[in-house]
Amino acid sequence: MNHVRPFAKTDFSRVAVLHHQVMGAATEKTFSVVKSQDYAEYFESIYFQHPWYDEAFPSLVYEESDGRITGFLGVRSHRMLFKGSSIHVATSSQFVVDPTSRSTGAGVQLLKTFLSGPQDLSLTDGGNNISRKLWEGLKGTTALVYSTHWKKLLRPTQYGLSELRERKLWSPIASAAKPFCHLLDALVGRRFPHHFSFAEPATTAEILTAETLLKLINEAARDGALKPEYDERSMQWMLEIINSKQGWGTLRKHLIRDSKGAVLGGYVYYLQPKGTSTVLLVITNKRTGGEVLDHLFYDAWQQGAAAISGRLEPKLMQELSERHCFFNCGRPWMMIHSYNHDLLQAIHRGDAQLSMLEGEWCMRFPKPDKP
Amino acid sequence: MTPDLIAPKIIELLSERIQIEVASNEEDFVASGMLDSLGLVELMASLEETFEIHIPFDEIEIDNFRSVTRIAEFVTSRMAVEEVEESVFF
Repeated sequence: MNHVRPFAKTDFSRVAVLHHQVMGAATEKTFSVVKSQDYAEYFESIYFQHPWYDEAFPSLVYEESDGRITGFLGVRSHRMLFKGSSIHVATSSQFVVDPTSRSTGAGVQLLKTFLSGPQDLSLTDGGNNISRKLWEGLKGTTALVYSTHWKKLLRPTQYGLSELRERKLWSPIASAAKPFCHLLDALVGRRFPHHFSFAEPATTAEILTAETLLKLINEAARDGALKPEYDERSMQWMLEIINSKQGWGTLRKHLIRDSKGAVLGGYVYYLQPKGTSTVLLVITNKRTGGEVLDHLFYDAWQQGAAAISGRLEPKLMQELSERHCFFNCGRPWMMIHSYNHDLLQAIHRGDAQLSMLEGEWCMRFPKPDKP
Repeated sequence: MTPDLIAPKIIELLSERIQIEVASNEEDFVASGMLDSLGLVELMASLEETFEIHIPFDEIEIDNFRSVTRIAEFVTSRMAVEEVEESVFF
């Protein structure tokens, strides 16, 4: 009889085949992890060796009566603090179902089993429109605030060209226009200095260590209803994951101080010179948010990025708007499910510290290193 | 309301909203591959809207939605439960 059961280490090779079948085309094009051994190492490190590993929150497989595994849903549990109490959060990722078996309802059964687990909050933040529909069908809700992403253009012409290069048909035009790019961006910067001109800030930056990052996260989250709960071990593990994802770009992690040496906050992002850099985390409080963002934008601009983007942290909404960022909601969506109404409300009103570290980002396959 | 009375409405709903044409009220459209996961959540949403019922998370079981007969029985039972809940509340 077809059934859902916990993912075991003996399933590695079968789930690797399933994942490769379902995501194969994208995997070969985008990711380096295509071999079974790589999958095994990935499954081991992400689903079995992380610091919060707990058998009560297993990843799940859908096994058919003939022994075939036709569905998989990866789960990572971790701890967060809600109004001062420690709660279990389970984040799902890598939700795949064999297309030939979708009529068995495997997707619904995997998701239902996951959502029925003992966690206080179920979460995913990499959802597409299909998984959003499934989550909402199973009484989950979409956290629209945390499904909002911002983008700041630093070099608009170069950004336009980088977007064109992604489109095969326009790629030759992008190459031809490349020599004029710097000149145009300089002109645009002069014409719209508030948007595209970046003066060196008075704040200073130093490298963010695991210790300072941990301290910063704990201090910055003091006011939120829902906040991350890291200790030295889990922060170290997270930093190792962050360091390992070099395919996203060159890692930049800074602690920001004011001219008197007082700590204002910090940020972690992957720099993509001439492309769009990705922000993982901006740690700040409402009072110092603007200064930390100014340093982030200046740093990315100085390092040659064309644009920088990240997920909205609600308390920075005003500062991001004042700095002429664009906002876009959805894809990926963040979906949540909980029996605790207060917890859901806190997230929906933006009273939560939910950065990409708390989501499924760290559970993704690594992108290939840059050549 | 009995399952027999609401079965025709369910057949209509399956045809119009989920594009499933059933041969009989007993036909298992999960086993026959006609209803996938997305179809199932669409069906649940349509049932909630059409019959003004709420399907609790704990009662989302694929077996409740396998055939017209099963769905009709499930909807009838939900209507009865909600009627009792409403009368207790008021």
